Amino acid sequence: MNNNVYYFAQGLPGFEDLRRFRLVEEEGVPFARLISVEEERIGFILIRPALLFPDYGVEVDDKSAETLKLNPAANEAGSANTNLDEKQNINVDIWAIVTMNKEDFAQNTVNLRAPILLNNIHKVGIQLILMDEKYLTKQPLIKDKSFSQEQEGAVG
Amino acid sequence: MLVLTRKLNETIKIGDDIEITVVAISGDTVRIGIEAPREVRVLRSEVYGEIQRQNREAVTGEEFSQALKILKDFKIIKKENS
Repeated sequence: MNNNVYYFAQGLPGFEDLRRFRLVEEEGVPFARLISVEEERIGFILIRPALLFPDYGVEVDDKSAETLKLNPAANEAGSANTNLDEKQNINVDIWAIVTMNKEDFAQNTVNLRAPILLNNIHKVGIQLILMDEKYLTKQPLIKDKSFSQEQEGAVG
Repeated sequence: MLVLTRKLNETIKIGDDIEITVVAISGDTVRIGIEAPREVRVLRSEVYGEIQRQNREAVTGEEFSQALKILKDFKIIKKENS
């Protein structure tokens, strides 16, 4: 299906040559896969960060908003940047890339510093590097210490 | 490249809107304050490289379904009613 293919004009950092990615959403969970159309073996696991980090906010600069084809008329007058609140910008989905740690799943992290933004009307996407240094490229997915115990049980 | 010498608390203006201040000097570390309009993106240069490395580390290929299963099994996602 073509309608889930997003065009990334700048590629993704580290994969600048890859421009088209297919979003495959997983039923019943806030995960998705982002798979390169050009190079099918290259893909990422995405998660909706808002569920884990309710205060997570993304501010889109003008140039990125242009790349994302956000409607400038929707922005508040006088505001240079677009505050990307999902309620206000229902056309844009915010995802974050999960890094799996194969040795220790408690060490799985999510990249909150550079979320993936997808405009699901115009089918364009960017990986936006946020200026705010409080967001980490390796934010632990799980803070709960009981997780590792649970993991042993589940794996064994 | 234009090279200027500045002392502690001295500033440099770039255009009308951007002001750079030397806030602190300690050994080989310089803390710099930047005042710029909100639409100007200010990033440490190495951040892009950091994201590149993180993306390369995050890439999954055929082990996708396995990885997803693990994430689901460990109930990493809280139920919405909890």
